[in-house]
Amino acid sequence: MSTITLSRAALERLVGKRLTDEVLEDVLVRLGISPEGFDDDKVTVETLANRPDYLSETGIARSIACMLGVRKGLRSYEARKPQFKVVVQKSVGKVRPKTACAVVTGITFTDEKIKEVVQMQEKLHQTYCRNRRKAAIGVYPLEKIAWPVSYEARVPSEIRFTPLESSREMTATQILSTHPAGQDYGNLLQGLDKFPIFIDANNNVLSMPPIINSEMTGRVTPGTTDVFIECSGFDQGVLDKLLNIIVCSLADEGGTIHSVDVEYGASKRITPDLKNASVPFSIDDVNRRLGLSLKETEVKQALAKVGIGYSARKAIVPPYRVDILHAVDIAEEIMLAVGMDNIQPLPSPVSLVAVADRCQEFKSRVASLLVGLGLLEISTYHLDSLENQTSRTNLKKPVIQLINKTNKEYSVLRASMVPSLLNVLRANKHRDYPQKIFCVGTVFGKDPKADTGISETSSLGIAISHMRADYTDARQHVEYLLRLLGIGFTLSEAEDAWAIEGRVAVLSVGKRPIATLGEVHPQVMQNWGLDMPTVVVELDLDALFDAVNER
Amino acid sequence: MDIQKLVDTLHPLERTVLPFIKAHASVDDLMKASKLKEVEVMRALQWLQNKGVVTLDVHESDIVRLDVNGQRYLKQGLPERRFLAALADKPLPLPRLISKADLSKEEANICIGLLRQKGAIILSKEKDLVVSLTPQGAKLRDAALPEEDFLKTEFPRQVDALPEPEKRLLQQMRSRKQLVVVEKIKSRSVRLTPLGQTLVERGVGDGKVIDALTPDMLRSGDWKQKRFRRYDLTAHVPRINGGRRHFVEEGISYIRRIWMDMGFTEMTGTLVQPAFWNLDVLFVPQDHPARDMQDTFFVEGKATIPADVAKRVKAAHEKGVGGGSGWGGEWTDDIAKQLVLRTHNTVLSARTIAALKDAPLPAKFFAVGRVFRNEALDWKHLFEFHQFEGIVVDPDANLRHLMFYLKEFYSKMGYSEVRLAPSFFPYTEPSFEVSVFHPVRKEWVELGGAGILRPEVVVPLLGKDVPVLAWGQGLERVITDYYKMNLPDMYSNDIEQLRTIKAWLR
Repeated sequence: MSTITLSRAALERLVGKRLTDEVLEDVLVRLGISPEGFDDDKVTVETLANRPDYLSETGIARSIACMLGVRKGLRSYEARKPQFKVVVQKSVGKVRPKTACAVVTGITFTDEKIKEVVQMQEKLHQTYCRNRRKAAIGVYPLEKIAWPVSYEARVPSEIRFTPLESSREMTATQILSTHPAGQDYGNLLQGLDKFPIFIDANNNVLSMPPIINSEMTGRVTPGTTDVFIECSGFDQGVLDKLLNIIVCSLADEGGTIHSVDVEYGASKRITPDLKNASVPFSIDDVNRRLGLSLKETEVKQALAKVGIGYSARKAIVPPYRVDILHAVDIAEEIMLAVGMDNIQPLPSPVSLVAVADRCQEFKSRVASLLVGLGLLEISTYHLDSLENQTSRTNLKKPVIQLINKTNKEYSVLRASMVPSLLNVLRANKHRDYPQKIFCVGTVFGKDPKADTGISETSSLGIAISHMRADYTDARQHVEYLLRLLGIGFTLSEAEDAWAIEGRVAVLSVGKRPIATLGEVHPQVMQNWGLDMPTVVVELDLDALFDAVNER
Repeated sequence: MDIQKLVDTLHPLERTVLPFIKAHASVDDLMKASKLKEVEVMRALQWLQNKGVVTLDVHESDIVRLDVNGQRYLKQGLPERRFLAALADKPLPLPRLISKADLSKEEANICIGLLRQKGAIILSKEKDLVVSLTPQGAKLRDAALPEEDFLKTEFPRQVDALPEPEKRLLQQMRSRKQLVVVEKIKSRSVRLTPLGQTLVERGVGDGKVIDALTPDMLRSGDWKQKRFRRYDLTAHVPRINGGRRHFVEEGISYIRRIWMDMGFTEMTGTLVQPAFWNLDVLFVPQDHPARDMQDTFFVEGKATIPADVAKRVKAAHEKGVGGGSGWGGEWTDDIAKQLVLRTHNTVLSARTIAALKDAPLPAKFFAVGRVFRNEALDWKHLFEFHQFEGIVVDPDANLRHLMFYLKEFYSKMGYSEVRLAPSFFPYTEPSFEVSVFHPVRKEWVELGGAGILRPEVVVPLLGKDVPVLAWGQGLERVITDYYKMNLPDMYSNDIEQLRTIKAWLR
């Protein structure tokens, strides 16, 4: 989602109608654009990620005009025959291989209009172009360019030009290290031997995509009327769409679109490609999906309201739309036109018998039994710090780590419940004792058999903390639980370094160890800053569930 | 008040203490007289005051007691006494004098200052400093010093009650190191009210009041000849704490029940998931921001993914399904095999649909569980929270049924109006933001997302295009709203909060 601020005057001029706040808010909501706030001059909205054509006054105005019926149906765009040529050299093949270009003439650029175009360009860069990773856009005053333009790659030290917002000529290497745009986007050229440039017949660099334009040939100023536009990147389909969004927007501002010959060695492409797309769809399918019963004429009218044409079971989709991937997308367009207010809930006749997950139910039952013993349930995070899961608690289990550790406190998947319990006790030292808590959650380990390579076990942790807390407490609680579940068990001496030797037991059902219970070792208590004797039980609930089922 | 009734309400502690309060008494006196502990006396007095029988007064006053040096000098004698005594009749060089009187250097200096001020000694410079006694000094040596008399009195003493000369003396003595200490103390005393007077005169003990019923009394029938002590039924009683589920779990139980009441079967699954199931099968493009490190937690390791599904998913991304175009570009295994902490429970829906194969339709499923987003903890964000998720796999399902399910659910959650606003998710078409009208705040509140799964999602998983209604929503927002708490307080695990928070009563 993208937040953009539009000029209300420009919007109304482009729609061709004055818009009251009420009308404006209503129509924006119908279009799926969230109004964030308006005044007399500005309209701030949040647009959806699938509509990069909404990142300008022109794109939104186009849809408002259709929806309000000011202009009806599909708007067609045409480009004049090419008079300009861009030659794509082999050298960009491994660097940034593709481009789509156009020329637009006859626009009076004012400060205001420049601002609008720059905002569109920036917002497109951030969203559709994935922060310039996928594609980048350059806009240049036509009058400064000597044709033909060459798109080529050169060794950085041999690229010299004065970048925008700078007063001196620099090499590409200097731009990357000292210019703000170079610092922000230089990583996109990292590791390349050669950098891509657009350069004209007079050997003047226009720009070094996706970083920056040249100050001399790449700055649109008030008074500029004609512009050259290039989109460069990796995927021809993406670049063509991107270019269409921009040139259609400029055409709506009164510009005339001219094609450009783009030569890739022997093969030639003429861009932009402003043909409408023809998307076959079934009206029955639309009605089935939406629960409506629209006739063909109604469908045609509906599509007209969202700027889409209709002809013989085909939707005619304008060239700036990037979001129509499938016939199913036409259904949504029709839904917008019909309006959500005109679609009512319908009770579903489907009647089925629900099945609860048995293990979830089992966990709830265990929790209820523990509540009966006066235990308080806590809810803890599955992410923990490496220190808590190892040294602080004297644990030796292997710990699985996150790759992106934003916060050290939450950078590993917990391997044990014990630190989660001690952490809660530490945060509650000022609360009344006795404190008896339990927690049900997942603990993680390695498991080569799982598709993730990671085991996830439901674990029950119990901690009891008071003046005279001892092994007996832990034992009584576990015995109570297993007695009521009808599970027999054996106890044997355990070695678990978080507990006091000789006061920690492993509890097994048959041969399977399912729990450890014992008194927390004073060194561990000290590590955690705890000073009230504490006993802990850690129990494998999945194993217990198995035992209950096998009984 | 009926005096007999009043007598019957008296607790044994009150009965013990009351006779010792003549008209006025201090708490200390009462402790000595009654042989009760301070807390017991205080409790009794507090209760008696509540009944209007006594009035408790608290005074603050200064008391003086001996400090460490004071106690030592009481045994050893004051330094100036030892100084004078050592001097006897003949002058002595200072070093010898100090060792004879067993003084520290500091004490010697104080003595010299003090005694010279009183004109008791003269210092003359010879090889060493020599100290000799004046006639005034000889007199002092033979008489008792006022400080000595003071030290010998019984401490602690009330400063206010000291005679004027002693008050002045105290001032001087306080300037000497660790001789005496003056402290503020609170002393409590108690007075009988007129009601109390009557009560004391009447007498409180006739031995016929039962304080606590015992098995012996029940067996013997003794209680028949006695009366039961009457309780103050409104008196404060200490709070008790019980065991209970976490309040979020109470909310989850309720939500699980709603979905099961509507015939939805429960889904569960792992928290760590291959990106493949969490994103790729849901038609999330491989360059989508959800794959960014700042949005999603990635876990070390590499997943295995089912080759057959992967092949179909690849085709859906690159070329589309059913005449669609797909996203274009290249879809790669490597990105799909990354491990993530699940970012939504839609991953469970995807796995469920993949497992449906030839199972009879329609089918309805739900899940409630944890999801993760790479967020810093703050007032609006948690990195780990809960979501519920629902799907209806039904050849005849449509948008209006989706609206129905959501409306039913939210009305059970206490929101009677539900609104769907067009939105965008890569895996649904159409897509919606779901808002409810907040009955108290009187505004629309956005709660979750919903839609009908795209054919690019359903076809690779199920082998055919069947409408799948789908929705998901975070729980935390409805739970914080219900409990009127802030987001960061939900998982603070403050035991006091957990002991006292109200029960889930929907």
